[in-house]
Amino acid sequence: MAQAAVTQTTLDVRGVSLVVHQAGEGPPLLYLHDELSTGWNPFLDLLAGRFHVVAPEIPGFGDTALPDWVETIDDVAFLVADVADVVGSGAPIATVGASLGGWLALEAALRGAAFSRVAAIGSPGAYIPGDPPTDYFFMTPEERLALLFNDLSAVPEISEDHSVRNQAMTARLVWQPRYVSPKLEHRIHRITAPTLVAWGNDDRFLSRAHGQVLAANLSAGSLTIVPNAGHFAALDQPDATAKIILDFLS
Amino acid sequence: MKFTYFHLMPWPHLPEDFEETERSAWVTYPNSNFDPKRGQELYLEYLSELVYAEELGYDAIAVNEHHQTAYGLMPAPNIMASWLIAYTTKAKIAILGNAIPLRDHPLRIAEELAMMDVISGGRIICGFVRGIGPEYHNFTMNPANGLDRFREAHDLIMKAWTQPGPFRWEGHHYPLEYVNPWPRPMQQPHPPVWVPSQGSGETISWAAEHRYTFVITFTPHRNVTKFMQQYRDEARSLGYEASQDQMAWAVPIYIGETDESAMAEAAPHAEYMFNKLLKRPWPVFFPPGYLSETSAKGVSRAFSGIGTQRVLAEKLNEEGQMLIGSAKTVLERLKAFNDEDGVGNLVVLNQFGSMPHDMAIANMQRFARDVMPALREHQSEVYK
Repeated sequence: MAQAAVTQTTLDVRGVSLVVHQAGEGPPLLYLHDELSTGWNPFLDLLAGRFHVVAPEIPGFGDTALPDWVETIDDVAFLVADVADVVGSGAPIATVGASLGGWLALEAALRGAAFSRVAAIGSPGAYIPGDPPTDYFFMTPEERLALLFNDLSAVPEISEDHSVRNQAMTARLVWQPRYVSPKLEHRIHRITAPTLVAWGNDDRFLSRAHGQVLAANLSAGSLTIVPNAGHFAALDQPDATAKIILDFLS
Repeated sequence: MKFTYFHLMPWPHLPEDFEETERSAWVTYPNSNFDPKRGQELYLEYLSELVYAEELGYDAIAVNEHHQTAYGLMPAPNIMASWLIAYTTKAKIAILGNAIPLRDHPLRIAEELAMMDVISGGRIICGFVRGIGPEYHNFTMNPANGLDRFREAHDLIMKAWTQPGPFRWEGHHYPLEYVNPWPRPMQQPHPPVWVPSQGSGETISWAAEHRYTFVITFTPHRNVTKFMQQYRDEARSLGYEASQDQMAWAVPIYIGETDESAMAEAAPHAEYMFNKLLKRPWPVFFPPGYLSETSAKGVSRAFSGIGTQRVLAEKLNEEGQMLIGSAKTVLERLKAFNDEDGVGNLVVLNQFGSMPHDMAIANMQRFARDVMPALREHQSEVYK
């Protein structure tokens, strides 16, 4: 497939200016990036074959400034709900999120975001005593990538500026409590949009049980496994992951 | 020049093959390796060295705070300071420092320090630090807002000491309806504040702005000169001249009979400190968000090679990161260094690494007898 023509603009959402990458023709699709990289990637190319993909940067990531009131997952989730209103012009839109972005999609849906369908890939958030996410913050960059990816050639190019900002903002959001929302499983049933939880078969960062807890508590949700993929399934296996997501969205 | 005797209270019993077999002396080195019986002996020896420093004429004695590490056995520095108050009468007692964002409430620190200042008759020097990277792992405390919490905790403590209570604190991290600590400190308007640092530009500016004593720790001497000049420049741009008292340098020093014998005696302990006690993967020292964006960018480049090469005592001595030699050599070097850096407080570690008690005592005696008096009278070229 030919690469989509990606444009970079800014989106103003209630006074917060977000850098947005977008491409493709079709109904709007909101993509919420993972904690590693905010730019375009081959997986988004595949989604852009069917949708107008709008991928905003979460404040604090990439080139997007951090407003002083944005400190927690809760703050970003409310902001994402506002972003969805702008992107969908008030109508419900399909939303896909990867890792941190998947979790934010679920949390935004709980806060009334107008989502028609939600796909969360490798979403943290579930709390399973005795089965925490692996502490990659304690690792060297090399060890971290080996933990998160099956295919190291799939690791996206990230500038040093972005890498430093992305890691710092991730820490701000998930350091404590560590990648969990202990109440999520008691609330997640309130998401009414059909929801797909996708999981890399070889996720060494977050056990599949986390996906199972999310799917089991959703009112209209299921878990799908992406073969031969690590935690960042959409980067490790863009074709297989895109097929699963596109099938779910159509 | 004034002299502070500073102790880190290291664990000296790490195994020979520690560097090969263990990933880190920080955060995760199993505490089953801490033997409480040996621990008690160590505490009593180390505390007695600090008490003895007063007798030898050091102006201040100092402790610090680190957690879950063989590097230092003082997670609660105020407990150590409290002991020292009871066993000394005139030395200042410097806590370098309390890691204020790591405590649940900074008001407790304001209270504890005020208690110690009152009990000691106004002998407390109050260090404020953020806590280093590993501590943010230890407490699972967010490194990305640590500086923010540090600044607010500091502002709260200083206001609690200097403004009459009760007052309301409309803080972001520590909102309080009633701030009214009893007791208030003895020293007015507040105990002297020292700011230990590895030399980040942000910290230098902040310390200069508040006219606090900036303490540079364990760095090659060329950096000491550079950072102190930065401090003086910062002060000048704020409209005042920084005094020598606002500058301190923390450095391990070993005095032997000759340069050769000093090196032979001190090298194993110096190398134990830098290779064993400081062993850690660099992400543990710089968790994401801990450093400013500018500082963080250099770090991965600067530190990616660390741990692959042992640090040798000869090199540490040559660069002035430690000073090892005869009294004559060390005195001459310290005078020359002081003519470059202009610091008014030398913060001396006479025990470091695995150095046993008797050796530390002898080192203190030689330093106090053969180096301290002449250096005390030395006038830095910077301030002539």
